[in-house]
Amino acid sequence: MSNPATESAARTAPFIDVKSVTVRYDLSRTGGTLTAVEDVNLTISEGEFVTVLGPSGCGKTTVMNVIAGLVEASEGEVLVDGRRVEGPGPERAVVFQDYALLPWRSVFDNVKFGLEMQAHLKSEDWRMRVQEAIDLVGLSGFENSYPRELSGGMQQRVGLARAIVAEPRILLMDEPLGAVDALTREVMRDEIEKLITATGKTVIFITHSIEEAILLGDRIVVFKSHPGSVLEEITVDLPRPRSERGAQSDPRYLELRDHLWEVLQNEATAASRGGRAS
Amino acid sequence: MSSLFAVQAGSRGSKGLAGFIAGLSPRGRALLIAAEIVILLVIWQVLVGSLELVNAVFFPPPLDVVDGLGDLIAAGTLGQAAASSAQSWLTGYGMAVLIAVPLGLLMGTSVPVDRVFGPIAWTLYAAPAVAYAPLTKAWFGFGAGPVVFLVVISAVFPIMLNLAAGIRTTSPSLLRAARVYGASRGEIYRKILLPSTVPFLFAGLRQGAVLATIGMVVAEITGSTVGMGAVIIRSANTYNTDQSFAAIALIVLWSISMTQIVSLVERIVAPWNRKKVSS
Repeated sequence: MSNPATESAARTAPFIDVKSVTVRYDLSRTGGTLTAVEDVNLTISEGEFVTVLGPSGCGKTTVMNVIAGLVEASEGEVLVDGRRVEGPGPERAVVFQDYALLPWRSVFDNVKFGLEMQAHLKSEDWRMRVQEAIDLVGLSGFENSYPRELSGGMQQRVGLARAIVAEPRILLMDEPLGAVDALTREVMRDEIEKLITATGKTVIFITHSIEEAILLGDRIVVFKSHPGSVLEEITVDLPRPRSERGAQSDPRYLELRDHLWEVLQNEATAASRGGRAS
Repeated sequence: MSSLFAVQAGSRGSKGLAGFIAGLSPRGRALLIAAEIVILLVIWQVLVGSLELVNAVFFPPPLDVVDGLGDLIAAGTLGQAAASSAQSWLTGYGMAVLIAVPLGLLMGTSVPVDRVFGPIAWTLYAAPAVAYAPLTKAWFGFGAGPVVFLVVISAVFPIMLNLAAGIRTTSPSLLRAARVYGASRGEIYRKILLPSTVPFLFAGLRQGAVLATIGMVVAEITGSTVGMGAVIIRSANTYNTDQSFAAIALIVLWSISMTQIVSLVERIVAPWNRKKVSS
């Protein structure tokens, strides 16, 4: 149970296959181009929880946006279940760092937004599904509140409910806890582990918290910046659920943490030197 | 209005007073403003009416203004003038909304339209209505025509430009979310752009209501024979300044009422936009 991903990856084609993806942006002011990510290769098996760790501005969000179908790759492609990604699709849902809730909609209607535009999902029991998603993230009783009336943590619960209501196979989470206060952050991290590992969804979870990367991921993908690309991949073989007390005193955890610290620190130093030289 | 600024200025200086005012309930705040107005009126009455520090003809005290209002009503011309002004205002404002909303939506949505039309709109918005008020007499005569025209011209641009800005400043992250969850172009327009622009629309409508009143008075006092503006001119020319002030007070009352109605409609249409009383 600790890591079903690696076994199945050997047998079957990858569920998500990021193939030599490069993204360049035209800089209209100088006429040059900015390479946000270069030659990123990544394969993810179905049901795997992959955390992506890296410094700010290393292009991890760009890669996620390519997988989500929000950004087009300049070179390379992304295959999901063997099909090339041409745009957003109902099998992929995104949880945004800034929640991206519609302020004019109640919690219930915001969650409903996750399925209302997908005709085949708008079956008769949609009300029940919306309610189930709200209950699952622990927001029962807040159905009629507006986002403005909720704390950051609660707003992100709405974002999470909206993402899972249509039962996507893939959850793309872009620093979902980045704007949440420290205590709520830990509570929600543990809840996300329980909630998502129970559903068997494939998750890409972007973070710059080493702790989050280790405690949530079956595998950690470390990014480097300038331009963004994959620096290292590490399989995490800590037993689940890791939210139980004790995981953080496991020697394997400490070893991983120290290793990741070192990698990120070297990367930050290299990046700042490189930045000065060029 | 002045008390609103006093609150802001006070919040920087003394924390105690600002805190006290911020802590008041909406009803308490309304009472505070009412008390403030009453005190100002009493001071005015004492200084001019009783102590006669200033000639009452130039600055008639409140009780004289009340008398002036009585005189205007007795003369029987007030009702007609007020009705004429109200009709011009409502017609002009209604036309302004009908023109501004589609154009504002178009400008906000289409970059080419904004490029071509935007600069013209801003130029016309920047031109003071007073400047071409005399010309409107040549165009529309001396009746309600120029009044309606100036109301339209005054109100149309703030509504249109606010609306366009509202659409253009829609949060990109909401647009991304809409795409992720399968919104078509039409759905993005209906479900994201239009609702997110509602607060901007109402800001424009409020601004437009104030400017419409200014446009109306400008048109009415520059050679027009109708409306409240004409009442001000006629009474001032005959040194019945108490009647002029009564007319001005009625116009201010109208202007405030109209912006309050706009705010009331906003609270009904967009309850989600209500500011939190305390955080």
